[in-house]
Amino acid sequence: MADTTTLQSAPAPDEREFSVEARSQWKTVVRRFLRHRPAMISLVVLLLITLFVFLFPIWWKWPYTLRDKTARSQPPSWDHPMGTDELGKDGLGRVMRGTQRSLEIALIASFLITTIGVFIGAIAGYFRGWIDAILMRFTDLVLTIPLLIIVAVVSVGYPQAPWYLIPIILGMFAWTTLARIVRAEFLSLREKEFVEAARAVGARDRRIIFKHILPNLAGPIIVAATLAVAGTMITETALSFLGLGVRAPDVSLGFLIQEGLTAFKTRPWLFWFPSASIVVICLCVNFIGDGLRDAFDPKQNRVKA
Amino acid sequence: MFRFILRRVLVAIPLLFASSILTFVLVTNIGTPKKIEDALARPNASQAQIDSLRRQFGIDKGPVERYVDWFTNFIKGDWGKNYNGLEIRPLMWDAMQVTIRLLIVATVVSVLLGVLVGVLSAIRQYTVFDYLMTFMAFTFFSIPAAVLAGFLKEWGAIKMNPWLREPSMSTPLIIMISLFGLLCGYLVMKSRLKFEREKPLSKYLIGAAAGLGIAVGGIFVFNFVWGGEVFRKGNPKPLIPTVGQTTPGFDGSFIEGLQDSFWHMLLPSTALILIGFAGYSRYMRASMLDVMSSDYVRTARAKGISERRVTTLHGVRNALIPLVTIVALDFGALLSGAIITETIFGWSGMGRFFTEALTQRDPRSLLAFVMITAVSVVIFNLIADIVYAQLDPRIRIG
Repeated sequence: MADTTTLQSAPAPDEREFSVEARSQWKTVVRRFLRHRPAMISLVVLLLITLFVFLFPIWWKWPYTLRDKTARSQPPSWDHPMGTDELGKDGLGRVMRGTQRSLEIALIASFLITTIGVFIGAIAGYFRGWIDAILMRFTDLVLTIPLLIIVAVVSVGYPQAPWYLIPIILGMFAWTTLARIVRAEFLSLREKEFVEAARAVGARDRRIIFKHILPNLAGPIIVAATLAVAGTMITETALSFLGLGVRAPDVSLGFLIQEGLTAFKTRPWLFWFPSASIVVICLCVNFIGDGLRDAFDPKQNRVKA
Repeated sequence: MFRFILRRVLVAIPLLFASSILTFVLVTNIGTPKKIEDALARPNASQAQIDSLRRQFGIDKGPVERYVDWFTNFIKGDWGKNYNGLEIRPLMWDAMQVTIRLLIVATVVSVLLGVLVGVLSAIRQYTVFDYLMTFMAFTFFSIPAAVLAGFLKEWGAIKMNPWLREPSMSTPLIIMISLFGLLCGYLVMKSRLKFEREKPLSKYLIGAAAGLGIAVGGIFVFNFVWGGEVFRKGNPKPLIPTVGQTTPGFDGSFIEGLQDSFWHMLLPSTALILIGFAGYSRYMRASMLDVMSSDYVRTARAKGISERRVTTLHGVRNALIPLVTIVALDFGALLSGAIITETIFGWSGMGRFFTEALTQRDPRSLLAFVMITAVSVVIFNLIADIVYAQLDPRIRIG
């Protein structure tokens, strides 16, 4: 009986032929991304870590600044799962707080990098001529000084800076690569027929840039923004290592790693946990970026032999 | 070609000039040097003292005058004195020699390794080897230099040295290494056989046996050569040093000096090599895949050229071209990595120069340092442009 009902409910062959829905580009991209196993695993892990570090501190008994005088320099135990430092501050509380800060720094910086990079690249590539020349020479100029060095020299002038100045400084100097990518794409896309058509019906420059050309670049921009998150976290670590990251009592992962390095012999756990945290997060972000790149890349089917 | 080079050089000169202005603007904003701050904090600081200190740091004039002063002197080769009153140029020169040695070793090894692994991953795409190398590259890509160098210092030297002096292996460890060898051999054979039609069991067994043989042979060699008196005899100091680029006050023959440098360089360069290798192998893999799916490779195959010749002569040669630019552009990142690594391993190179200048907020040292990095970045890009144009003639026309 059950068999007959299922048979009846199945659509007739000819009906099915016409009910096949055309896949939009975005649906294809999402489908490809969902099938990218490393990227999906990374996405889940990253979301879990983010939820954990932002929510768990509400219930956790040791705030990151509290000094437990009965437990100084303790190795990991049930009471302090990530040990304590020489003042009795809880490792887990500090790692959670540091991960929060590092994620915030990375997200703000990545947002700034993407915005500035897209803006400068789009204007240079779309208008060409002297605007392009000026903007690209400026990009070349910023690229002459390695990112870490330029950022370190700028931040040394603000010893009392609040933490959000770090991502702002990072964003101010790290947009160069993305600007170059966006410009190159704009240079080729602005000559395409659909842009000519848009111009023929009287679309303004702003509309052409944002509504007609930019959506075509969603792939490379999203990938670059994702990878910038990992890149910024690593640069932040280097900056903290030079003593120019967030200031105590605030902590970031880079700050904790730097602290852990100074007492590696006696309290190695203070190095291991923040290091593991940053490596896992960056690994996840990089895999997600890779998955996105594969999902957006139309050439992918050809290469996969 | 000559016109091309000339044009590039003519672009580079104004760029460097603009870069010197940017450098100057950045360095004028570093705040008061630490020495002046300390002097101001002293209760009995007189205005005359502060003024003389400001003159010593060269920050007693207007910005434009200071810039012209600094720039003309810098070009002439007079880079001024640092916060301690030492001439900056010889200091910088010494620091550069130390760092450049590290950078050259790290670049050469990581490029070679990256090219090899990238090519193999590309021609064996989607095999176990490819996935393994991809995962490794992503991991090293995600490790901050400070973490990697700190890890290597602790586990590659401080924990390793006592063990090297008295090496021994427990039975479970030997069994584990043997099993690992077995697995490796099996996986290698499996990925090799992926494209072959016949898959006899004997081939898998041969691979596994080879892996086991290598592992057991390694342990054997280890126990009888390394475990013997070779490294312990007459060697009171730790084998793998963790501080400095040479043993202080080292006095020995040329060969011994070379050995000394080698052991000092081993871990810092390993850190840089692993980070660099991660990037290069990915680029090389992508570039190789691109080339191998191009029309001229198909033509070469259609002509009946053997697959080996196609991959080496048509594939690898062309896939290497984009890497030239990548290596040059990576110089900045590599230098940043070197600054961190050198600081962790206590080298007195550019890393120490920079961190000292930063903590002292010493304007002249920072100016010299940033300017030198800018000059080297521009020179590297220039070289990359020229080499690229030499390898790919299409560029010269543009």
